[in-house]
Amino acid sequence: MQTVLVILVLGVALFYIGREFYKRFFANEANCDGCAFNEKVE
Amino acid sequence: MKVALVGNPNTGKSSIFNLLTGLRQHVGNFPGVTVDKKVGKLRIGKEDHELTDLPGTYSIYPRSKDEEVVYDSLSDSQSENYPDAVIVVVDAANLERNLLLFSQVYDLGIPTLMVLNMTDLAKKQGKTLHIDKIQELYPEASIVEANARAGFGKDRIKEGLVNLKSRSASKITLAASDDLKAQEVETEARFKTIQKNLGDLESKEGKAKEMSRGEKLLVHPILGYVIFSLVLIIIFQFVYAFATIPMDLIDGAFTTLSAWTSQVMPKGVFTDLVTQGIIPGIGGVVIFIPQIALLFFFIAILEETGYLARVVFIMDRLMRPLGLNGKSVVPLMSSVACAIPGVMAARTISDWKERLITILVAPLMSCSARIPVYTLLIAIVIPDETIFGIMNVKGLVLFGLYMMGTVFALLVAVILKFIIKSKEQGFLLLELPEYKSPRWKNVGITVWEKVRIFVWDAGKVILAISIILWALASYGPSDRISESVKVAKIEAAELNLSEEETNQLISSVELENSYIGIMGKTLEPVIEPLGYDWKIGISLITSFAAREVFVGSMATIYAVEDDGASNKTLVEKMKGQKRRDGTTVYTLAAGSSLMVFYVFAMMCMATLAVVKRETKSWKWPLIQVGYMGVLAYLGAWITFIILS
Repeated sequence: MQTVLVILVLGVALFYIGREFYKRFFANEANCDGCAFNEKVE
Repeated sequence: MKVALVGNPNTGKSSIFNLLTGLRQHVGNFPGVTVDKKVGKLRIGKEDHELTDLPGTYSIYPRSKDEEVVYDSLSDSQSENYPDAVIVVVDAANLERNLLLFSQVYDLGIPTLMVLNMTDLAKKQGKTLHIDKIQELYPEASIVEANARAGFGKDRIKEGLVNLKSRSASKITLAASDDLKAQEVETEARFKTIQKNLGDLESKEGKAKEMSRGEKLLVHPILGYVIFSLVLIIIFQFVYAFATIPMDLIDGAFTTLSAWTSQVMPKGVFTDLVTQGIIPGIGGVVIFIPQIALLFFFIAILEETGYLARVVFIMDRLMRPLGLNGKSVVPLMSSVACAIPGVMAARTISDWKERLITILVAPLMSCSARIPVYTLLIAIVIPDETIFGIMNVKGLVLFGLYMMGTVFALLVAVILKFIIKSKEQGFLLLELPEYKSPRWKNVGITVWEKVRIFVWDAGKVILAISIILWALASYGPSDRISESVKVAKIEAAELNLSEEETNQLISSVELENSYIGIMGKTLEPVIEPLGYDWKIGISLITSFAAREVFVGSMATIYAVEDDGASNKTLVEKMKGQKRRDGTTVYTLAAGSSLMVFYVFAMMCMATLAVVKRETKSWKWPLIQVGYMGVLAYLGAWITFIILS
């Protein structure tokens, strides 16, 4: 049971870090709230 | 209803925004900046409306990327940012200048509410506003008085929004954003109208106020810098004096929590993860709340009182000979909080080369993410002594690290000035606001926002990395680990080590042969000349995500090493770290070298992402990582050699 929990938590952590990295460097920012202005100035 | 908030800089626009939205506001994806899209919920009756704080501007015609946002949002009715109503904040003490923007917005035909702010300052200057005459000049606008700093006018503004007058169609077609000639003609015509009517709109008693002696001292070409340095030294002394007690309490609480959790939870890998990965990871975030809160408390007070604007003014004088644009001061000052708003604030610089230099040097300014690293290392290697009986050496070292970042930012800018040539010379248009007593609600909101961003945004990354790090530190190639443990047991028997010492040795050997240990050992030859061991090397790798991850990583690595059983705090554990040959790891030389490394190294994924987006290229963020990396390595190496 403990091993399953560890795998789950580790999976969530890896997914989160991966998603953050993708979001910051590669994602399309069209729907990003804070980037609406950035789109305009670019 | 979508409501836009516009106004000249320093009209108290942000105070009005805070007054209307309270804590129900957010700043897109990136932390607390004025160049970003700041949106809040404005509740009128039972209905919520969207209030957007647009960047401060003197005219609707843009002179920078930042101001283009205002032009684009208000001139294009098809834009998704086009508002249903506009609140124009007008500084009652500077009516003539503020009416230019107001008249432009008014003529667009959008329902407009004029909020006459800072009426108390206008009175102080002997000015009396004739609101009935202003209303006559702009009959379709609603006008209310407010004093956001005193928290007065919230209900009037809401009432004003409810009773907005419907508008006839737009009276003007705005000149194109690049048609400077047409803009100039229109602006001159507007100023003529305003000046013609100004005598009716306000009356004034007494003479214009002269700069006081104290005021002259604060912006003095030499004493101004001395006073600013003293202010900073005092702030850092206070930060140290007040933050130590709560930080020690938090550190102790998390150590106790970890030990208690390992006792009450059933033995197993998940318990290990909680006690050695998650709790130290969260502790590594929470412990720095007192310092971050205190630093921003003082910075917010400086900003609120109007002193920070004077600092920008004197710094402009210093920077001009170095080839930086006067407008670079604001991005660089913003970078002391966080390089992300700093890099984005560089949009106000119209010349792209000057903007680029500012973006490239902004991350050298010591940001709040470095505070946890500096604090931890200072606590370990700097003696707790005082100079002249009052000056804490630790506080002075912290001040020195901030100064080092600033000086090198300017030096690098000078070098870049010769590499990247610029034909244009920018200018700094800065209005020095009146000195005011700080508005504590604004100070509170600033502190709350900075702490929230640190705990929530940075905290999630730190926690996730701590969990991954725990796994990499707890597992490794099983053959290699069992072989090494066997050798360690023989070594312990030969040395007649006690059971506790033997267990400690085995834990160290297991960590050394874990996946993270193998990675650290591989890196060790590169960082050995700087005085670091492989464990520091691991934290250097993980903190490339964000600098503050360093502390969480150290906490996890040392917690895994002693199986989470020790009652020692992280500082105590690090102070007691020895190499195999018995020498101390964290000497003054190694600790100082590490601090210098963090002053210069570009270790922030989020800033790199923003630089990439702002420069629309991978080239500049990579150059930034390269030059800052070289500077960090050389600086750390020289520091280690000198202090060894």
